Amino acid sequence: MQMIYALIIPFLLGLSVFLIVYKKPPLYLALAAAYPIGIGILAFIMFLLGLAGIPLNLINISVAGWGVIVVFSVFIIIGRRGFESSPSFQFRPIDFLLLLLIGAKVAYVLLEAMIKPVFTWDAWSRYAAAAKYIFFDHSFRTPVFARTMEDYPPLVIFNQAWILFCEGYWNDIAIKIISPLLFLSLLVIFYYGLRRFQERTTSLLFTFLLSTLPFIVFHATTAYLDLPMTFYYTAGTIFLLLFLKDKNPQDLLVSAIFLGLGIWTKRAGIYLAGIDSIVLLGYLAIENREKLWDTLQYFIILALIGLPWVVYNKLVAVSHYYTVGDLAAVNPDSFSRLPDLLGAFADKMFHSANWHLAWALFLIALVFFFRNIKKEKAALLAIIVLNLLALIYTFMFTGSYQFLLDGTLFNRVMMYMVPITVFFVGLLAFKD
Amino acid sequence: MRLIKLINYSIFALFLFCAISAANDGIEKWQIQQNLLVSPPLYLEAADNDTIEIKFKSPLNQTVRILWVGTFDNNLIPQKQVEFEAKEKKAYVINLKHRNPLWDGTISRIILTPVLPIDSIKIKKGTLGDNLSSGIFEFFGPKGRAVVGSTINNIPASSFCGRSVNHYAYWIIFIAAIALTLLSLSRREREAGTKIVWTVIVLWILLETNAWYNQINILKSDWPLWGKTLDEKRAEVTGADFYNFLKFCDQKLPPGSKIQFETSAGYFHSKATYYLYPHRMVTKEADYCLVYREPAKAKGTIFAKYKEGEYILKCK
Repeated sequence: MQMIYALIIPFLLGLSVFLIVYKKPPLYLALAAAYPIGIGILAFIMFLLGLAGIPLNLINISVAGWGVIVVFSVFIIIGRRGFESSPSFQFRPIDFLLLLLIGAKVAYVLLEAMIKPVFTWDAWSRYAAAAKYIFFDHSFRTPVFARTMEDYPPLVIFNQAWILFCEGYWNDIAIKIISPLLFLSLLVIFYYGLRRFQERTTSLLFTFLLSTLPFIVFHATTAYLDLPMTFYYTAGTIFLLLFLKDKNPQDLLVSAIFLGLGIWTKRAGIYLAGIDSIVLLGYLAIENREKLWDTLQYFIILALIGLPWVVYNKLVAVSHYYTVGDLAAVNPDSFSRLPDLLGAFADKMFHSANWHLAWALFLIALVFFFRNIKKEKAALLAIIVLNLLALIYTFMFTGSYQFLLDGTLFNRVMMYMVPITVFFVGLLAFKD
Repeated sequence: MRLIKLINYSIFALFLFCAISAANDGIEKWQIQQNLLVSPPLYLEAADNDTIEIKFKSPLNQTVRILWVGTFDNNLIPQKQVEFEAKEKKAYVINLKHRNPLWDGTISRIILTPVLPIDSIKIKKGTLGDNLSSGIFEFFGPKGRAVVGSTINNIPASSFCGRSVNHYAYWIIFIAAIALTLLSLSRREREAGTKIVWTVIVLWILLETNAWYNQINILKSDWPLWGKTLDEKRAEVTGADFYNFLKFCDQKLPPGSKIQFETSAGYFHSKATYYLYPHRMVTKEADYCLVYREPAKAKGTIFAKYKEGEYILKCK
């Protein structure tokens, strides 16, 4: 019961916001988007409560949460928001098989996540520990929290703490529910996005391929922040692409929401939102100048969501990694790192079990379907290339080079862009 | 004269045969030293003796490690080893070069640990059959299978004959791409890309079958945790003795105590910080000091004792 309550409030928060922003979404899309948006809003509510000096506990957060749900519900009723009426469709046997395989993977992730407590290093030494401090201290404005979290964004940690408040005791298994739910949402939103370009079976096939990526599957069973970051970036980029395709402002607003919540999830959220924003502006400047004004809404939403954390973090965090100065300080000797970097790229992208054959498929799609790389597909390719360049820059020219050598960070940062790479192949596939 | 030469060559051949046989079948010549099974001096060229065949006398459930030293480097180092799971009473054929590129140069000694009942050991040049057998064993071997600390950062691919299985997939894709492209060009069709994509997807599904094999095994090994208490599960992932010591400390320490834990193991310190909060870990002016299997550095009286070497000190 406690776990159901812990999920209901963020779910309703997210559903109400999504229905306000997105007119008549399909039911399955609304259900998939609800929880991720909801945990973002809940984190924001807890942040404001904490700043106001109000103790973080079950009662205070529930009152604030239900209050926001009621307010949003009024808007939904007034605006007569609802779901898209489901068209009748017929699944082919192959569609059922793919759905079964995807479902089996989701079931595996859920079982494996909830079978044992937090056990991976950063998860227990930092994130779950910080959630425990909030649970016992009823605040995040404590020295021990500040020392533990440094300048890491708190979205997932606040939600872990919320689950602990609902459980009523420190339960470091219950807090692991977040990543499996985001994994499911990732697959559904991926399918929805691809379905707007491709027919059903192809969309299901590539969703199945995404569900099989071992590195993503493993992370979905842990309490690390990388799977949530991957979700927010993938969802934000997919909705951005849908806007570029159909020029519907609601897609752009949803994209801004997801990318903004990514800034609350991991430090990488800032540069990832930046990459998508640059490509958005560039694309519209070239293809569709009259839509440039729509981007104003996008940047306003992105700033409203992301800036509070960026400003607070800048003022309060005990230490800062990757400041602008750090990132800009290029050491000329860094070019000697190129062989190590190329070796790591080759090994981790092509000869590990992390991504199966995703990168090989990407290269094949580039070669054999290059004639189809136009408009929004070209924009997505630009996003992928910028992500790769950002990866190269980070590991070659900054202190992150040490993480390349010890092999701890590379794949986790690459994971943010792999789903959109699979999405890119899905856009091009079978269109010789 | 010719007869004398013939006899000399025969004696030399016999000597050589005995020398090789001494390395290849004479398990009785191997010695036990400090729980290690050490070979006699070998002086084998690694390139010509890349395969080891070990036959165990009885069924086991053991991880066996094969280490070696070369003539130019007499030190045992952890990088020069191959590990495998020995479960059945059978001959295990392992291509050492495939498993570890450091099987190189001239090998002067081989060491096995732990000491197990062995029927025979042969070191030889592997045949095609040996390499395939070794490759299949390697494929199901520990690499890329179990969840270890580094899995969160990288999942190694399964290997076959010293290369990742992806390597073979890329060869198939390359050959298929060339063939399908030429076929499409000859037929003036435009479907080469689609067919190549399907080839990759089929290979992807094969790799996914391997991933499912891993995931099912992981689920099977974790399954006994269902039905256990939260404390039992935490003990499982932390280490039972250390977790139970921490649980003892949590019960005995007054609420909100300031504690110090001087240990050489960063893992223990971090875990204690995590599990014992809201008891606060400090570096000075602690109320209590934890001692776990290391000599106590802080001064004080024993406040509560879990067992020998594991107790809480009331700090002075």
